[in-house]
Amino acid sequence: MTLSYLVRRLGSIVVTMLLVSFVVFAITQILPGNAATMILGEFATAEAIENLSRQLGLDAPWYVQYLRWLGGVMSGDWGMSMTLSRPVLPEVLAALGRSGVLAGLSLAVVTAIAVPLGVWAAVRQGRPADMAIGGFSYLGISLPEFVTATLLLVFLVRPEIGIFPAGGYQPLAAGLGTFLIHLALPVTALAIVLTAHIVRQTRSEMVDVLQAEFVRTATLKGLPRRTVLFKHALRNALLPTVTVLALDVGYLIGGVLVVEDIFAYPGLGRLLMFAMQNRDLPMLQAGTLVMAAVYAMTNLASDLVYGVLDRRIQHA
Amino acid sequence: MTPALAIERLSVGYRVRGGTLQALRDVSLTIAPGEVVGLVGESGSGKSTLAYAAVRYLAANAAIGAGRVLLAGEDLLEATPQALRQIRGRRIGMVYQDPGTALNPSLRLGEQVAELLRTHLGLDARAAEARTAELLRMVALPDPQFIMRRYPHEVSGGEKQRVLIAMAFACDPDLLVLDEPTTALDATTAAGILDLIRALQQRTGVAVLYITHDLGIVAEIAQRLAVIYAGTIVEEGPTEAVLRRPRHFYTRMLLASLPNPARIAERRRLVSFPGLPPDLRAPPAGCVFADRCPAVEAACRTAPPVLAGDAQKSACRRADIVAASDLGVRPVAAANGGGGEALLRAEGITVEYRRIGILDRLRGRPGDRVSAVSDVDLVLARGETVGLVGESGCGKSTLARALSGLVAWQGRLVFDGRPIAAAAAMDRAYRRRVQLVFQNPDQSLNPRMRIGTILSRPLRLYHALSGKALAREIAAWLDRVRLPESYARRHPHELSGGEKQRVAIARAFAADPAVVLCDEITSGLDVSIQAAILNLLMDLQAARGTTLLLISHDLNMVQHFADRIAVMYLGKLVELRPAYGMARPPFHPYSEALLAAVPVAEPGLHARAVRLHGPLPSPKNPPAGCRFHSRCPRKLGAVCEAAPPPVRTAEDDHWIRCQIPLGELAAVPPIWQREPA
Amino acid sequence: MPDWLRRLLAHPSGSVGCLLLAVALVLAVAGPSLAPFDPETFHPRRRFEGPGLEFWLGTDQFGRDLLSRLLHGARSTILFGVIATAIGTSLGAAVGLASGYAGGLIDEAVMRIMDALLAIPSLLFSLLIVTVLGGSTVNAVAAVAVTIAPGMARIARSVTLSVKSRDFVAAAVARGESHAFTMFREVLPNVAAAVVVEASIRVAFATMVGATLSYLGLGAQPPASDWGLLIAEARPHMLRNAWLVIGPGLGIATITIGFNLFGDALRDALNPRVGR
Repeated sequence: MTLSYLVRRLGSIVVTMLLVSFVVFAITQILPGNAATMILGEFATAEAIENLSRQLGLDAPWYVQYLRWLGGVMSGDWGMSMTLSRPVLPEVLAALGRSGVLAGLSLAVVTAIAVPLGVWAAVRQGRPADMAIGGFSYLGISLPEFVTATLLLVFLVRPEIGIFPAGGYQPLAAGLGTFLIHLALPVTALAIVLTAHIVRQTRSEMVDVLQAEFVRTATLKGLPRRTVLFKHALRNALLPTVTVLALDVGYLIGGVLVVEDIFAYPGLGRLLMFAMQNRDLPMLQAGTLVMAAVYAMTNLASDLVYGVLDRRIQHA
Repeated sequence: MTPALAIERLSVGYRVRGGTLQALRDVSLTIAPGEVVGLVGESGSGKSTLAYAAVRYLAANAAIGAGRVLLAGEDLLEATPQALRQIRGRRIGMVYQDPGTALNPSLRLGEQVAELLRTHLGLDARAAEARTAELLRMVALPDPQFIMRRYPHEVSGGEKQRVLIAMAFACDPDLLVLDEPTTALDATTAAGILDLIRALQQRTGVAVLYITHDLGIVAEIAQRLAVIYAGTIVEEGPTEAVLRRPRHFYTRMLLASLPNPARIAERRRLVSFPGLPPDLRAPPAGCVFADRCPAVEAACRTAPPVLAGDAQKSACRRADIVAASDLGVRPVAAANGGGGEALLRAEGITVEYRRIGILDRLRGRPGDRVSAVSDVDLVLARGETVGLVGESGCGKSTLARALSGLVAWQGRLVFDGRPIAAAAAMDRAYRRRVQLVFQNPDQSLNPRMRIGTILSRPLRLYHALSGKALAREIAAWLDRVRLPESYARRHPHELSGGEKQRVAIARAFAADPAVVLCDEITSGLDVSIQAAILNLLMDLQAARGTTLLLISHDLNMVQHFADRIAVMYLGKLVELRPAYGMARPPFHPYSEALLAAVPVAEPGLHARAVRLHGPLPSPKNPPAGCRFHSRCPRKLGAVCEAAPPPVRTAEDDHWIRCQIPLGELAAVPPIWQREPA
Repeated sequence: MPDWLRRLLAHPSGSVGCLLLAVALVLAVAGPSLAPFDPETFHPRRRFEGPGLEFWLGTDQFGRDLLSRLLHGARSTILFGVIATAIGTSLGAAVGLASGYAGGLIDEAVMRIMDALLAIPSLLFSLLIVTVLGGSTVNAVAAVAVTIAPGMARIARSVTLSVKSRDFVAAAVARGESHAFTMFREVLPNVAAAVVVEASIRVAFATMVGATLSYLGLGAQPPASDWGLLIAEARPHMLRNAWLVIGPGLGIATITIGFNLFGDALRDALNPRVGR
């Protein structure tokens, strides 16, 4: 991987993020009813709204507003939440941390379960184990998170079971058990779809690689089956999976929105849902921008990992 | 003595849609210890199935119907998986067709050899590494330590194949199975690999099963050969005897479809095979070759012939008349030798690809510049055939694309007296008169169009035909390339490779062009089909007076058909000469190496070894001075690195671009020497 | 029967997928007329019943027949994904084909914009749009279509680029064919298969997003009985009658599994490399 590639990749991320910020700004600016109306309430006089608009700079042309907002974002002034009357940035970052715990744990669970299952299915291609795993993964990718989450609530959050709380978040300081038990259901709801997806991905890559000629070479060298599978095949099958895993982070973020809402988990997803319901513009802009940034960074990271791991890629 | 390998009455079938494909039927073959046996067949003949059956490695849908595969008397078909693992890699070594895909892309080359040594010989890491270095030295890789640390994509195809050969010999096996080990390589590289295999075989005395489609290679390496066709062995015997007096019509025709480079002066038309091999889902009851055989009788179709004979066995009922029968081979009319009126004159044609990275832009650097074609002068006279020869990456295809306006070029081009300033100035009139036929018809025919639509395009565009006249002309063109009229309604995937290429040729000629550029048009095809395609091309040319540029990596095939030969190396033309005097010095050292690398299917005829050093340099960074100096076996010294070589004119129509004076270039022994019979 | 259709039906998951889609088609066309009860009729004394002989899937908090509500909601739930995908795919494929065919700076610029759109996770993007436009089925369809388009554009573009590099396109250029002919007759038919396959898998995704939007109250509005909405309405009562969640949940899963199976099988059937 060359320096030139790194520079180009970083450059394209910057361009992408600028475009994203513009899209976010554009969408939020066509919200019906401007910010002044929202602050003063629907019964304020037209004159009062106009005054406040001028104060807030809402009478300026859209590009001036955009540049002003962008300048604020760059300098760390992300605005005040309209509903909470607090600066947006600390709220968003705190929520992001909690969402990060949820998403990171989910990814870890997914990777730990999905990759071995995918390999197993590929090795047993066409046999009962493969069929079972395939059936499960079809079911997994076909159930939206709100369904799995609701079903988890229906079946596991019952007074007679009494293990899992209906929602909420407890910090690690409250004890590891408490911390984990609060995460268990949201993580499960998020992990099912992703596990199914990664299983399918790993399996199909592995099936392809097992047909590659270098695997034939390894077999005909008389190497043990284990060596052929893990040293020769899996190593090459995992590379594309890394990329897919990163793409799935986008999926995960979408899932986080729903799952946090259902389990009342105080993360970025819930904050965003709250901002949407209350039309809290600065909060909405900040949250969306942060999510897009996380997604873009994950993709960059996966590209770099891919580049380091895959010797065949020569980034010129 | 127990044979190293004995395949006894083996039948293998593949379960496919529409039944079972009987890939091998009742095949027997033995290889004595230390013996080299060549197995010759075309694609689909079952030769690869046989090769992989010898290590019991068959596809999941394969079923072994009957037979035994005995390695030194032990039946591999009965062996346990564990026993099989101890045989593979240790007692049987394998080398594969495509070294590019046979090595694990994410493991270092050293590790790929060393793991074999650790597994089978129980060496520890250090000993395995030391032994790996020795093995790599044995296969003549100059810097083993360097190669061991490289990944496959970082070394050339020839180097990869040497690593695989090192692996095959690593555990001192009893048997080597070589599956077309030189087919994917350039001619000069292939010749080096063949030398290496021959030398190592002689040193170790290993028994070898050498799979190939090329009778020339067999003539050079095998003591005995077996010819396989449609899943059965049709002839088997000592190499020399079979090649001198074939006793099966398939062998005879295969030989007659190959040009002999040493006999270029006695040009004759190549034999082309009528029809197609049989459908192995329902193999014929009688002789598998009956449908294509010139001497077929009614009895041939009823009962299968038996492979019989003493030393030289043949599965032909009429084996005795094979060698003497007339295949209807006629001599070719004398070449016109060029010198006619110039139709297309290219001067100083240069094609550059530029790549500018973002860092280059920031620093104001020009970026990478690859000159794929550099300053090429070439004149095509009306009605002649010019062969353009060179190895992969030499720029020959790029030149064809430049001449048909697909890539931007610099230089001067005059077509039919009319100067053409640039690719953008090539209008429809020019495009109509200069047509291009591509290498791979799978790529060049739109898979979603019917053959009729494909052929209609030039007719509509250039001749404004439509309706009935169009349909009539499509049918006429199908007929001219000897395809049935009904093919107009088919899609390309319903045709065989050779048939598809005929469609592509028809499409080019239907434009009524003055020049047809043929870019490697037979390289993906079997030998028997190559001859048919090239014969067809010659007939069309004879009927229409078309000028042909035959671009190929296969000097042997091209020189047989061309009037003049242009040799290209790394973007530059290095030699231009009449084809009929091809075997006569002086040669450019590169042309000499290309000629000497052609395997000849004539027993007793040996080519002098002219071998190149090292790998092909990257076109991004061609050597200064003479571009060939880094690999030239006759390099003079600093002068070759310093200055571009001068053009030395030998005869009217023969020039060489080299620092070595013509007299010295001419003072070389002949390339081919005949053993006294 | 065309070759690919035969292969599709011979494919084990293809036949199951086709079967499920046939069921979905019947539901979408004839769902309401198959319903045993009026979906809005209250049966006040039969609230929260489990599956039984009269109410096959049980009743909700007002004693409405769950099966009838499901059958009435089928059409809009199924059509949602199909229509959103059709719109998003056509938009995206047109952009991708044009951009890939044009190449150069235009392509570069278009793809940067697509990247930016793709950088916003799709559910979030849909939510933003629906929040701005206001919750309704039409707006939700538009929102989902907009999020599908950039992904389809990228796929269509990358296929276009690979088709463009094949020699039959070079042959058309060397022949002097017009751009329109090259783009629509040579390139497009070879891009279409990949786009159709991708679209059939996206339908599953769009159905899921549509149901999610309804669930969040941003898609279909009561008294409609879209399946996502049914689950949202059942939430407060799910401990009284789990069937109110399971029924629509299984319905959504069936449709999406059908499209997923169908799309995967179609991919294999149209790809001659597999299955030969």
